[in-house]
Amino acid sequence: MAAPATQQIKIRCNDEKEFTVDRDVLERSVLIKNMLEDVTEQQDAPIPLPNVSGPVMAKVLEYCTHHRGEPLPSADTEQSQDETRKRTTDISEWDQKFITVDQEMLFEIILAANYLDIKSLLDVGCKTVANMIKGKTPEEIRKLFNIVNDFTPEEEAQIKKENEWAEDR
Amino acid sequence: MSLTLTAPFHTGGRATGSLHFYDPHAFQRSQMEDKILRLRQEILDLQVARNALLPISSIPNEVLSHIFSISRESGMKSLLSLTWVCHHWRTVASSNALLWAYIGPDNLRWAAECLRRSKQAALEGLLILEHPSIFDIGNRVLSQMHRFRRLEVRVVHRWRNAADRLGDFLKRPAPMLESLTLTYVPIPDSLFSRNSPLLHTIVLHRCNIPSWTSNTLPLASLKHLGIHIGRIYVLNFIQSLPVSLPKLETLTLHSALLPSPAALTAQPPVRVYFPNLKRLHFSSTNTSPITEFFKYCSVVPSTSVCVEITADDHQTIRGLLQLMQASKAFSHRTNVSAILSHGYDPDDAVSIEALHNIDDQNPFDFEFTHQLPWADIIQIFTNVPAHSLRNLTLAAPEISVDDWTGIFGRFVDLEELVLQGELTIRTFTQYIVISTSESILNNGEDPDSRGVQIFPFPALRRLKFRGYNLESSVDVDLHREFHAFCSALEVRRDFGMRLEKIWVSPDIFYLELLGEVVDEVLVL
Repeated sequence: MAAPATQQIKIRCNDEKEFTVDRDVLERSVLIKNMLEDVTEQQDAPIPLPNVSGPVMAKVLEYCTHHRGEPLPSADTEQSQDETRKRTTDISEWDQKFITVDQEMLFEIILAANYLDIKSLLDVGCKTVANMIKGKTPEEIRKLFNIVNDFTPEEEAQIKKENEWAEDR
Repeated sequence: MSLTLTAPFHTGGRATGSLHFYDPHAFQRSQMEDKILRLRQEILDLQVARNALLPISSIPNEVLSHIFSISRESGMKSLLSLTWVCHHWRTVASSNALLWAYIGPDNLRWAAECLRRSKQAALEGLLILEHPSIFDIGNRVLSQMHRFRRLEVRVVHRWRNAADRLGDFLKRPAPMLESLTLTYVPIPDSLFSRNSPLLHTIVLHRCNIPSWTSNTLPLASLKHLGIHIGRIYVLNFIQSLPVSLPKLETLTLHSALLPSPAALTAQPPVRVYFPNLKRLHFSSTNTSPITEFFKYCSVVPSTSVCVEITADDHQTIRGLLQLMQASKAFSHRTNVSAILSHGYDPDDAVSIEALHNIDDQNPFDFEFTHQLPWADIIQIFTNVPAHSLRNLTLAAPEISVDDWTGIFGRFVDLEELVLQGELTIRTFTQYIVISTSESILNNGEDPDSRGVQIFPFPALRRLKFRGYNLESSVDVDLHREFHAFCSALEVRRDFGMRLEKIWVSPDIFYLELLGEVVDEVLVL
């Protein structure tokens, strides 16, 4: 039987930072939801989350608290959601404000969402990166993410060919 | 610099006399070149290693690949740009075959490259063949029919006669195909050599189907069929369906059917039963093929049937009545919507009286886009049963208060009202009552989204002003957009409307706003 929504769960991040959170908020994470379902007896020991730091977890929890109660994507809707996800880079106003963070934190949130299996948050992160890239030249993208051109001469030659070929069309 | 003549290594006794300059730095230079190459490689390795330590590189490949698939929606060039950023991104993008598995108007000329990069992934395609030069590329793409999951092939009207040049792609097996849409493509018999086990949806636009038989679409898996503009005899069509399309759930026929010739109807055929059909949608300018369809078919009671008639002949009301009579025997869930642009013959008293026979259970939409004299409107609508009218579009001269309430006040189930043409709502607005009702609040989230109720139509949800003298139509969802409603009134006033009075319930928050657009706001 499902536990009452008010049940409090403790989690511990990789920097020893601990959070006590309502179960329904934490269950936005499929990883934690499955963990909680596997544990039959109530445990006082915090759930260890070795791949997430305290500051990142605080952001993730802010997101989960805001979206608590919203239906989780089921396996049936996943495919159609995939299609919708592909088709739009729209992000809701709240999510957009939430994800306005520096690059390092943005990537940490994406990593955490991927690890904790929070699809909607992962989606917001991916769309944000896609929006950052949108309409930019390769050089501008490199500058944006501090990437250096590391192509071999053979790759450069191939890219030059593709470039001419793309310009042709 | 010294010049030396060197002997050939082996000349078979014959001197060739080749000259070589002695270069004392050659060895040193060669060593340097080797070092440059080594250093270059080392620099490249360092650059790759450095890039790997960037925050962006912490993103796992599958997530990066997902970001690329979102970017792909901005076009093929965006995707190519991503492969030109760095070695890692190029590798990730190239290894995801799905990224390249869509062939559409923005990359049709790169189709060969996309087919190669997509490896064996299932393809999706939209081929718009708008010039003969594209037909060859189209052929190359369509030769991969066995790989397509979704495909739309659109031959433009101008080149419709060249569609044969697409070859026989519709005869090739399509084991992965789920959805197919065709425009101006001739349909062969034995589609896909009867090998398309996953195909569930087909939409045909203006496709040439010489004669419809059970061999035309022999698709046991098909659930949704749409035919837009065709010349198929009703009886040929319906008699083939149970054999060829036994699992059909949705059927959309837009001006697709013709009344059967006398030879076919000489002997009354047995009614064809469609046990799986859930939704049937007709739209046509002619009522007779639909009436015939209803006459010779039957469906389960839960089947939703929708008929849209856009007619401009003078037999419309009579035809419409015959259609509705036939629909009663066919299904009680038939929604009929008629747009009668010139379709009312004032002398056709029999037809008008017969409107009494419209079943209250079958909701009915009326759209008079042709402006009728007010007396004719009264004559028609006094005959329409009160609960049958759901949507009403009216182009008429100014309406008096008595006419308005006397005639239209009966239609308490009216959901949508479109006021059009020269019709003014001067007196209409005297009967607008605005109230905030719990049932129509927008979850209380947005205080500006109070609903509007209009007397005497408690069920009215949408109000549209579609004036000839307006730059654009004004549509108002009465349950959600209070501001839109007020601005719609304001637009009307700009065009010389007189908005005299409006009654509002005492809890309305917007008296001030209404005061700007209506001369007198009365609180109930």
